[in-house]
Amino acid sequence: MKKDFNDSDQKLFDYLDGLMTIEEKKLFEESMRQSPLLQKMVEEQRLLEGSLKTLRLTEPSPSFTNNVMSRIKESPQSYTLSMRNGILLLVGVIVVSFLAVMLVQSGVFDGSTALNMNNETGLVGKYIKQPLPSVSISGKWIVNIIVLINMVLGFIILDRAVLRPFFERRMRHS
Amino acid sequence: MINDPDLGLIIRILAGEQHLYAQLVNKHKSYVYSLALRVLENKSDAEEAAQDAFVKAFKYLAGFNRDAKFSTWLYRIVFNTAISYKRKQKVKMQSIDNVHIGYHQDALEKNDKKRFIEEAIAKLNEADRVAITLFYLQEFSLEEIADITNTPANTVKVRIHRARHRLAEELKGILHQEALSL
Repeated sequence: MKKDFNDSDQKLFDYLDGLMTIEEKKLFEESMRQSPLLQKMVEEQRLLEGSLKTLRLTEPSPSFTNNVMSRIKESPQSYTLSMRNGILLLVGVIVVSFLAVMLVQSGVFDGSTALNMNNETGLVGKYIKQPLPSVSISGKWIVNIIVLINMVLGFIILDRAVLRPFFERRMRHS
Repeated sequence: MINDPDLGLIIRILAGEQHLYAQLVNKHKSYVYSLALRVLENKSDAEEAAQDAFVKAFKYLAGFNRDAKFSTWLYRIVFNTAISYKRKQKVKMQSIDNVHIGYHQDALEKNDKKRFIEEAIAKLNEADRVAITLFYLQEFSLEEIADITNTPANTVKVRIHRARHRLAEELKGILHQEALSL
């Protein structure tokens, strides 16, 4: 007949696992002395614990490792950024950012381009009655945003490809 | 930070020494296979799921959080892979009844304690079987088992206790039947 798992079982396992305080342990041992049934349960569970600890692992087939390695060779390679490639990419990002900043400072992007939707599309008058607003695009702003994105990208590459591997290697050697 | 003995190998594998992954496979294959077998209860499915888990782990090795323990991360992949195999298996099982083949084959290794324990474990439900396997075979802590199975630690504790209780009951039943058949 099966019994449901309850609080007294919980106490029994806590006792076997050494998860009781000294007071709780004393109380439990006292109840064990008074109840031969509880004593029997503890002994049975102890025997089971001993048997479970002797459980052995099951070995896979002898060709297991070879099969895994050949499946890895067959599957497409995952891309990882090596330190050398990371540094090259970082240099590229820095050069692009530097050139962009130089160009902005020399005033190449100072002028703004106005996009007049009324003349470009030819829709006004034909389909739309009211004139469309003209949109002014500042080259300086666009380049500044590109520089900002480059800087964020640069920091990510610096962390992933240079700093993290460097500190991990140093930790491994220390 | 956890001082993981596998970390050195992982760094070298990620730096391009792919062949070193075989060392990691050799080290963990028995645990990985045993865990998959506990979930799937079928040797060929367990072998395939275990291989799949190792391939997945290799594929995502670059994303492995090095502050965590590699074995915990790997066993989580194994557990999830085995569970997805189990779902497929359930569909197949409607027509082919191949569950417990592994244990029936094991039953050939008769008259030892292991056989009775294995029989009793096979009668547990999947979640309890996995929890008890991780608890006794690999001696993971409750927190680590909770992490692998994506279950609260308290639930894992209850599962392990319940599994131990049921195992004792099952063993009594099995041994009683054995005694009667003598």
